[in-house]
Amino acid sequence: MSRWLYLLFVCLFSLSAHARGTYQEPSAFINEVFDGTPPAAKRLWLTGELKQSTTAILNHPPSSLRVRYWGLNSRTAWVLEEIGKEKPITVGIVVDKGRIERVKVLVFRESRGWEVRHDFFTNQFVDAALTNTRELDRDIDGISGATLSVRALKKLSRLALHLHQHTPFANDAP
Amino acid sequence: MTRHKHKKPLIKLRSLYLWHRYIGVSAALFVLVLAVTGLFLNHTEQLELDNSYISETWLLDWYDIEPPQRIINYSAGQHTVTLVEDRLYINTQAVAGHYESLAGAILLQDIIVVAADSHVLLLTQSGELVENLSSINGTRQNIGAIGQHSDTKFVLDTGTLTMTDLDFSHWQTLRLKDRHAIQWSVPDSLAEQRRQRLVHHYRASTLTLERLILDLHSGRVLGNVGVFIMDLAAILLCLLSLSGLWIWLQQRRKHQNRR
Repeated sequence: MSRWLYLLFVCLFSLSAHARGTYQEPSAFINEVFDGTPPAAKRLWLTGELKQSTTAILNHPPSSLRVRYWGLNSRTAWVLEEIGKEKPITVGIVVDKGRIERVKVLVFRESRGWEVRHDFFTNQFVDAALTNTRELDRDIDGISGATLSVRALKKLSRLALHLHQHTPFANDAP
Repeated sequence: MTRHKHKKPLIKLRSLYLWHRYIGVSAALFVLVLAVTGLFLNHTEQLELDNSYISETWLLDWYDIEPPQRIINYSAGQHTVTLVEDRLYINTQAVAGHYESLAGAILLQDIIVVAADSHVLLLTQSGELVENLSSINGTRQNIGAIGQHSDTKFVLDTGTLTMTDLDFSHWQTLRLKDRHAIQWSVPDSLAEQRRQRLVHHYRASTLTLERLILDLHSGRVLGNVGVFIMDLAAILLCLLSLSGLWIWLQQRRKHQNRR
């Protein structure tokens, strides 16, 4: 009996340990998004009104005053971070013509809620846009036991869409 | 005979009442402590108890929170950049995050550039984070040293010398023989007054209000004795509910017998 319990404990521990980590380096993500030839990174200052609107989306002030992004034609790619429960989750988000093209969890550091990295969850964001009240225009189904990670990804998706609107690449949309 | 039979349970009931009262009075204080702390703990997130820290020195002493052993300081212009254990400070302003090492800091065009672990942090002079670059040229490498090359460029030593500017727009590899042209950041001593302030800040950002309330709830604030006292309180509460139930049953039986 104790042997089975030990085995179960080892399996659960290794599953949890495996769930945490770097799934893709941010630089590799950007390379992949732009087919190996990414444009030079640009910077967006979060000051004045943009800082206020970012604070409203995140429910706290942004961790830095400057955000870097990569843009080409009507597409922008963002590597953003938000704390789930205790540690930051690094997420890569691509926005095209004001709609989300792709969401990918790049680095997950929390001990719980790692299910958000799966495609079945992140695919829900594809094609989502921002409403006038800066909410996503669709419902995103949550995952039980991963509420805070789900919340973090929703916030980051809204933030990427909002920041996209403040770049010169938003005007390229037809 | 019948009278005698009626009297016996009455005495028992009175005695039980007295016990119930004594137990109730003894447990009252514990019930209050448990209820009030329990209420607070139920709303930890809303009340942000995990983000509120205790700064009273006697409480920090009670918890044996030791002063930091490791303090590394660099000067950047008129400012000090200090690593106290794993916490980073610009002057006396704490910077978010935890860091294992501090390789140096420089002041470049009104921006403080800090090299900590594999991070390059750009901070305003009031300690606001402008940007955190967590990888250099796409790779995570611990930075050994940081130095100023010109008014606009700085150099990072990660085994190779890499030069960039505050926009991180261009990365340029320098030859090792060009090291002498760089003004490297070197550790500096910290004024005693500032040192004491940072030590206090470090200690005062360790014990959360949530921890204290949790320890009051479990009795651990008084160590093992406190846990034993709370165990005793729990037993008293069990006895209180049992004696109350027993009194109620006795009274019910008495009323039924009267009818």
